[in-house]
Amino acid sequence: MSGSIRTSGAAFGSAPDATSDAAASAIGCHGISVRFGDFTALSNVSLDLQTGTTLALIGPNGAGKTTLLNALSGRLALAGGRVTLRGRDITAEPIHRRARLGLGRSFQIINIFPEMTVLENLRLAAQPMAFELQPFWRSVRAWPQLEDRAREVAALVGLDDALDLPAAVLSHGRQRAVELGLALMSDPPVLLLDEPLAGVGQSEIQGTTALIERVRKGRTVLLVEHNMDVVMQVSDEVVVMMAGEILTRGTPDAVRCDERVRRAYLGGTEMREVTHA
Amino acid sequence: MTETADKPAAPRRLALATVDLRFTMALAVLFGGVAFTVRDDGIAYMLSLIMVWAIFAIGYDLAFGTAGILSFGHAAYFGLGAYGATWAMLRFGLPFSVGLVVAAAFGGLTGIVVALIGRRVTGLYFSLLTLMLAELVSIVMLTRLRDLSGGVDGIAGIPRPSFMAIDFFANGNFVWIVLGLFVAVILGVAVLRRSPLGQAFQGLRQNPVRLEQLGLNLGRLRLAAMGISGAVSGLSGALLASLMMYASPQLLSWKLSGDVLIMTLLGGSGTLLGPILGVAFFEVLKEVLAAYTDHWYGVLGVIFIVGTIFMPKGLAGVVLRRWRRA
Amino acid sequence: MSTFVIGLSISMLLFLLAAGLTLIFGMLRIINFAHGALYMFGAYLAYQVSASSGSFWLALLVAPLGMALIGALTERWLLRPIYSMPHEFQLLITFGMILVIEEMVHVFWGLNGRNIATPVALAGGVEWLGTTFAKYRLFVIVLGAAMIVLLLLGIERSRLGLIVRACSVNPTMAASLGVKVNTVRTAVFAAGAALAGLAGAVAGPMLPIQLQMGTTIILDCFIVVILGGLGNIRGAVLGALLIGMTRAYGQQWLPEWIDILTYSVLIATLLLRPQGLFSKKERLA
Repeated sequence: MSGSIRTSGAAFGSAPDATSDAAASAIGCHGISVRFGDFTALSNVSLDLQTGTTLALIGPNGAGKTTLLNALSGRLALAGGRVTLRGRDITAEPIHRRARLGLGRSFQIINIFPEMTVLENLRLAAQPMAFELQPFWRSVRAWPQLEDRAREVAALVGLDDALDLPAAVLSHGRQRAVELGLALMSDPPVLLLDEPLAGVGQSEIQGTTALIERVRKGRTVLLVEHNMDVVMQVSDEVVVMMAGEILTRGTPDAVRCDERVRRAYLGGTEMREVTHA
Repeated sequence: MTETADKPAAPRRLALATVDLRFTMALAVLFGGVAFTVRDDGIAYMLSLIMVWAIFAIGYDLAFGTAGILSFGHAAYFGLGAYGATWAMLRFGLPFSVGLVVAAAFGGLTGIVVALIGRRVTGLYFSLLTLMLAELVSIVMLTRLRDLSGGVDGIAGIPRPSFMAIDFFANGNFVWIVLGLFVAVILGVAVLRRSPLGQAFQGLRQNPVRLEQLGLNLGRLRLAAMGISGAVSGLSGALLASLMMYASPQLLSWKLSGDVLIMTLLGGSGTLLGPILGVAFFEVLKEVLAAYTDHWYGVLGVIFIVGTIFMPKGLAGVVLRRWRRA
Repeated sequence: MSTFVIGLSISMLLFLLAAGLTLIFGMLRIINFAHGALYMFGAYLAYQVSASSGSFWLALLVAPLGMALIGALTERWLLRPIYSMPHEFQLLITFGMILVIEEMVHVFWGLNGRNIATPVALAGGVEWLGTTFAKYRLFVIVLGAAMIVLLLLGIERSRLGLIVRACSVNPTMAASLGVKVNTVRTAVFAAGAALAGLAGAVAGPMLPIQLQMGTTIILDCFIVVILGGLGNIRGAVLGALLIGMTRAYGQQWLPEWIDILTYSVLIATLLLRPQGLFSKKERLA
């Protein structure tokens, strides 16, 4: 396997939004429900993202936002409904298969490989796309394209000066960058970002937001986030969830003025004050 | 007060894996040196015993320290490997080398079967499953398959290798075969650890959720880890059977599984040096303590307890950490 | 009919052991591999007390108390320092404990097996419907039943039980409400050890007291705990009944297959219902 790394975009058969199907659904769910015992976390939710758009998912805590992401990425079993990726029904596909089909995801709680260096973290993330079965007879450095790609993404997320540091010693914001970098290694056409700004210090918000802006070009992004300034800045559309259902959907401005949305957020205060992450 | 600065990290002179391998090879050279200079049958036997157990522990650590799979049933792979070699050599008259291959195959296949059976089970329950499956194998071999296993008495008369008219029944000669295999296993595992598969195993241990999200099939990785680990364990079982010229269902007992876990943890899991140091320490300590007191078993227990509390990274952790800073 | 009583008495013995093990797991999330060794030490301790004082009843009291003390000291000094370490290390400590405990028995009582004479009040048999039942076995059954009631009431109805349950489900919350979680942990481990000690004392007149007695019974104990569900006392009751009866009747009818069948059932349980045959809720591994 020499030469360039196959990316999940290529696995799709086409570059992210360069085809005639540019307006087609990149990812969607149709009437999905998720139950935990007696508790219904998602109730008959249908959502569709057009290729190349960035959709923000907002709502009070417990609304089901992360549950929806988990349902889309395959971590949760559905009590009903379907999930599609680029027109293909992936409801029965396990997590790793969905990832290989072009679905990338970052986690709300930082989920990296703590004992590995930044370079090793990213390099590992390049492996699934490079090999169907991981080889075991030679050192991983025998495939330089893995490290090349890792350095590429490290530069993109601003970590090229930290490549040899163990991930565990990085600051929170830089660990977030690793988190995002891991999701980007396979160059996924569809990206699920779960609160990428959670716990990010005030001084790093701008940098991280700029990073999200860079990353969302040419990709379809579903973003869960509480920081309203960022939501307004990066999203094309906003969907509001509450108690396991979709309340409304529209442009950021439309949603901001929606009376129902204000009421959903404890009388409107929560939306305005959430700028201090 | 912001948390935007990276924590200070110890300056890394050499990668841990490199230091680990160097120390390990140094140990191998040491073993060879001792075998060469001290022409004592008893010492050669002891060295062989240590190396055989070290191979077992390294094999065990492939599952545990590398892939993060806590197994309480590795005696099954060890014992079945021993029996595989025994049957191949005694019943079918096949040569030693074939016996080794059969042993590795038995161990590896059993590991894969266990991983398959437990593919929907994780964590503690998987560990308990390994214990119970190993127990089942042990009981079946002891009671139902008495003809094949020799029952409580076991099977004696397992041969040493024979070629080139060298008498391998002399421990002083056999130790070189063991040493050769020991080095081969060390190098093989070192390469495996650095390979893409090895990296995937590390990822499996450190963060399986993330690894799966990146597109890797965790079930298949576990199968590979258990298979390779089982094969190496089976190989060591065959070596022990040939060394002791005896095999019995004792080799399948859960106490053996416990022993290898203890030695690996005490020596330091996740490294090559750790399992070897753990085994060497354990065996040498047994010999030394037994000479002084009847109650060496209890003293050993105290050492385990103290070692666990004060040296969580094991003996290897102490050794490797100091050298990397130097 | 006597097989039934024998089975029931084995079940009660198994329950006493399994209850301690499952209690410790439920609270501390560790599998106490040294549980069999604690049982054995309890048996030897009971032997010593009954031999020295001539009273089995005193032994029945001292053994659990002695083991509770040992348990408390162990948890406080050996296990507490390593709670933040990965689970494997706690296992290592319990392995080490097995060696130390066995050696202590070796030191105090040598290698020979012992026996506790059945107390006069419980010796002999009772005639009923043409069959003779050993009085001692009946005593074990009654004692076991009493302990079941005591434990269930204690855990489910008493305030102490509420505290224990709170600590095991959400230690941080319990701590913030003022509960000394560390003390509760020590107490639970001590209680588990006490149950093991009681089991040892009770086993004395029935089974040979020897160094291997812990290892021979511990796997059955594990089986009971897994079948019943880790941390589940009611499940332990049912599991103990199942295994105890299986052992007794199996000894009679299918002695050669009994182990294999037991393990197969256990493996099936781990695969299909890891939370235990008798648990209602999903338990997190």
